[in-house]
Amino acid sequence: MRVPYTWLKDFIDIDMDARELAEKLTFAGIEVDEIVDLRPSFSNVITAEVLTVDKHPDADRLFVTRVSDGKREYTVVAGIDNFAAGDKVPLALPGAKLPGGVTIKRTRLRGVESNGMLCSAEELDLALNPGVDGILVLDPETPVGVPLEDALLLNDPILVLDLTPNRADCLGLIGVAKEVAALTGRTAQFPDNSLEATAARLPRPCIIIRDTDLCSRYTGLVIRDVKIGPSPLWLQVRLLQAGLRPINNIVDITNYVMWEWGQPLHAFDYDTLNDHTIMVRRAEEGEKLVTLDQNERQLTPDMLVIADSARAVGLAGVMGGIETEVTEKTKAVLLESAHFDRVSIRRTGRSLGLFSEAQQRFEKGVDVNGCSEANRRAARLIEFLGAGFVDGDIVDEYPVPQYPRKIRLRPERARRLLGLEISQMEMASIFRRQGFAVEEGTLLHVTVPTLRQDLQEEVDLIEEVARVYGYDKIATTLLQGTMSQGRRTEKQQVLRKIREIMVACGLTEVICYSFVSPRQRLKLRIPEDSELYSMMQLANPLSEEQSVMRTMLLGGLLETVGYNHNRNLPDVGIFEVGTVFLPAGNPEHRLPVEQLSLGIAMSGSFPGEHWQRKPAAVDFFTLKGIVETVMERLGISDLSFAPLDLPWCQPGQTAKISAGGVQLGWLGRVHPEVLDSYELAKPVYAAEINVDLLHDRVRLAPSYRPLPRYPAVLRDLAVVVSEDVPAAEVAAIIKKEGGALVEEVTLFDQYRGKQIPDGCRSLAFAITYRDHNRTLSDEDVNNIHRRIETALAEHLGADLRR
Amino acid sequence: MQEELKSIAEKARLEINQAESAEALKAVQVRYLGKKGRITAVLRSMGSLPAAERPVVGKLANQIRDDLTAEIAKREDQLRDFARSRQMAAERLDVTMPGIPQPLGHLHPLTLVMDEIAEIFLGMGFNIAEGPEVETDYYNFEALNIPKDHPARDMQDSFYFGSEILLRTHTSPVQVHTMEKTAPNVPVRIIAPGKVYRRDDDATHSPMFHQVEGLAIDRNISLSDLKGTLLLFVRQMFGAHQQVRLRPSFFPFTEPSAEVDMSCVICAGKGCRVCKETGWLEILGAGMVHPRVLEMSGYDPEEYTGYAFGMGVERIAMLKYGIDDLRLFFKNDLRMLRQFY
Repeated sequence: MRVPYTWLKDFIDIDMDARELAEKLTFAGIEVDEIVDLRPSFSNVITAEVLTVDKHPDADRLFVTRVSDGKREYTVVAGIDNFAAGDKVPLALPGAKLPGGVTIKRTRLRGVESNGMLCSAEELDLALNPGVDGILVLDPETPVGVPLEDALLLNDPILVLDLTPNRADCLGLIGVAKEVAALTGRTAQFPDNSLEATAARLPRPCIIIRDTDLCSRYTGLVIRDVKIGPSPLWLQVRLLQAGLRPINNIVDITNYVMWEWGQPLHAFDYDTLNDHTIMVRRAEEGEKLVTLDQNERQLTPDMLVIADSARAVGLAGVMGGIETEVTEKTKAVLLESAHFDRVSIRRTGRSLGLFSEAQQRFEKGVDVNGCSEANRRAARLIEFLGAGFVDGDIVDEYPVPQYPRKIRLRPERARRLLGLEISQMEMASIFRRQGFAVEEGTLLHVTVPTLRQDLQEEVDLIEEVARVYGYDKIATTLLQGTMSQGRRTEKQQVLRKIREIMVACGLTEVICYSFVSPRQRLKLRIPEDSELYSMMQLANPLSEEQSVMRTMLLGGLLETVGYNHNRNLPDVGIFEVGTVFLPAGNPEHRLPVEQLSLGIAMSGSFPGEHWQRKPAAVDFFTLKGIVETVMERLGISDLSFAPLDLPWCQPGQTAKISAGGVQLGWLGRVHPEVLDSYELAKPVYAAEINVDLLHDRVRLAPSYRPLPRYPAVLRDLAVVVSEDVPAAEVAAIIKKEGGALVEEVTLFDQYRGKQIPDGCRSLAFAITYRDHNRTLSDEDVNNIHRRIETALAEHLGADLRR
Repeated sequence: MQEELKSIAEKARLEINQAESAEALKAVQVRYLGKKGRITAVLRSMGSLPAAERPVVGKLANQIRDDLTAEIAKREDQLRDFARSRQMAAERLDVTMPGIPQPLGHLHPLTLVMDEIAEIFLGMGFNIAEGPEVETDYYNFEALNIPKDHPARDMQDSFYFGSEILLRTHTSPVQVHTMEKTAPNVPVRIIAPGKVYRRDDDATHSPMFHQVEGLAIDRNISLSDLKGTLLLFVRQMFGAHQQVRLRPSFFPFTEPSAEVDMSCVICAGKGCRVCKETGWLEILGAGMVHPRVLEMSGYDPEEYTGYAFGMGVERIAMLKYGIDDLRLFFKNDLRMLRQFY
């Protein structure tokens, strides 16, 4: 809402400048976004009075004029004579700069000296007097010899309000004036809009509200002997200040009154209404209407229209129809000032993609009891400006009148809720300053006018008290009452710990968008029968690239690796903890399963370059080591890895991560085809772990095991086994056969080559033996060691190397 | 004899001080003090001396032996020191060369900020609550006093999956979930950090961003308590000299509602470009929980009151770290992320 400062002063005497007023309003919750003006892009243009207009002696299409600025006279040659002696016109003096970089110079035109230029609205880049060609003729009362911008109030400040949706009352200057009255204690004054009853010469309008649920009031007023023309410039300038476009006097006045009263008006060409009838009804199936913007609109029965006896002539509250538009030929108009249902208007506007000023006001709620007032105000202005005469009285269809609400306010409740010591008297005064009736007893009963629809119940009045009194007067106190202790839940602790471990492992956290491109399915080779294939589809995405909800973190991680590779950062070790969304039925009706996931991606060298030691390229075991570290630090025992085939991973370098028989996730080398689709040139290793499942198996507090009292015995064991025997299986047999006496089994070497048959490899383990109750003798250890060797030979056909 | 002893001692001292290694020194020791050493030989030949001279010579010889032993020990220490010095000299490093970097990673700045916010409120007795990112219309709007077709829905343009299912536009639905779970018990004190989504994408808006919601419900909670809590928070987050101010505003789920400003962290309230010369920065929205919201979630608004607030994490992070582009948070450029710890 734009509030032209001088215009606002029509209604209230303000003793502060625009900046101070803006500050005051902002601290009362009417936020002033900025203060602007219509400052022109011309300079050195003054107002002048035309003294004479004569034809140029030597040129058919030129005119020689004498103009005066009150002190001096100037001879100016003009190309048009749409003005006469006595008219006030804009004079660009020599040296004046006009929009578009034109500089005015003293010149001779066909032998006559021209000391400047008379300007048209277009030459001044002012959207005034639309449709009128020629020099901009100013209002007769314009003073001469003053800068044009001062004469037209183009420097007048305009407060731009950023209104919250509850304050529809401030969508009119009258409402803003009332607010200023409440804040300053000054009295707002409003124009007298009473109309003298006149006898009607034209047929009376017949107004019928058929759908009263969508239209609670309709007032119509007929204006006869209409003379369509431009509005006076002062009015046009005010519309420009409001951000509206001047059109013609009748339409301008409806807009002008809307800006003042917040009540949208519409003017119909009265003679185009069949049977002089206004019917407010829902549109019929298949009904069409060409609106003012020349678009043919397909109407539906949930839209409210204004119709005459034959057809729809306007979209109620949204836009008028072209066939009943006010034109130069119009002789009589019907002024509409009505109240429509906000939801209906909102839906109609949304479905047609329209956002008119009128529509916005109806959506936010206009004052049903302001309809006739606004209509009479428009009629008075029309008569005042000589644009027509009121014909008969206003017709007011208002089947169920609404009355101001009376709301009870308990002063003690207000004081308690606000934590503010404020007297009952002060509260009452705050309401009275706004013109609300207040009955005082132990409680206040406040009668709130229908203009203030934001005040519905006691708590709204409490806010009103605080707002007007000043939030700055509220003290700062601390919570009292029952003490509570703040603590992270176990799951929150686990998450925190996961992040800590990741960072300790050298990985950097990233946050990727939750919505991804549907092409991700193809790029990641997710098969159609996978539960990761179906994704939640946004009905109104911003772009195809962000139109479905991710079911894996991998896509975002690979994009991030690529982004950094492309910026010459080859060593990337990243992780993300985030939600993936697995549809549970039709995503239009059912909420998805939201699963928390830990994703890791690594590429390049790890750790990075150093002068003293060579960086090692990241490989499968780098990542696996990190996964194992996380698991160990979360107290997850019984962790196991097994070969796995995943479409997005390279076969033979992919493992399933399980604990206690439950699959927690996977890790592996990203498939070369997937790398290609992400345009990644270097290998990437990735893992994804279901944190929800992980959380079930976490043991946050470790339990202490006593330190050993007897020494351990270390023995190495090297076995040659077939390539298809997993190392984990060898270790498992060692542990199983060794039982409680085997404390630890560590693989320390793998060897292929000389002395090892083809298709085999040698695996070397270090075994730590210990008995917690005694010192093991050599003999004890020899016995177990031999048993293990035998078992390995039996179960795996292992060849022992001594 | 005494002269001879003195001359031997003189020679021995010379040799001791000329010995350049432990081995050479050992040889000197053997030569003079060993079983067949020259001092030993003198002592053995004492018998041939007159009885009157013996004690004198004996004393002198013992004296010399002790002196030489001490000098040998001293030289031994000296030689060890020399050897150590030589070794240390050989092991000298260019200490200006870079150390081996420990490969520690980095937390995302938004995580750091959310953690810090959480720490502050945990300290004030708040717990951390969570809720889903895909919500029903009821939890995201209706239960927060934003009925269908209310103009307040324009304040937040939403991503929809169907007419009733959407990405949450704020963390406020967690208020409702928490109240439903807790009602009618008090106190409720929670914060709820998380991702939220709005259909906005330009230089100052991201379609996905983070918020931290706060909610406290009890008997007798007042607007001044809200102001006090936020002042405490702002001071812990941005420094002890920070001030807050409340400006009236509108949110459908709070009444009274307020926008909360804090003194500008860049210019300390003097006025600069960041605060548009006002000295204040808007950092969050807050208010007293609307009685209708309390009622819908199971609290009697006559008996209980509460406050709620919501802040944008990106905004706090930008102010805290001086980040000037919102979009950097989701680009995941390692050159940016590696700056945070």
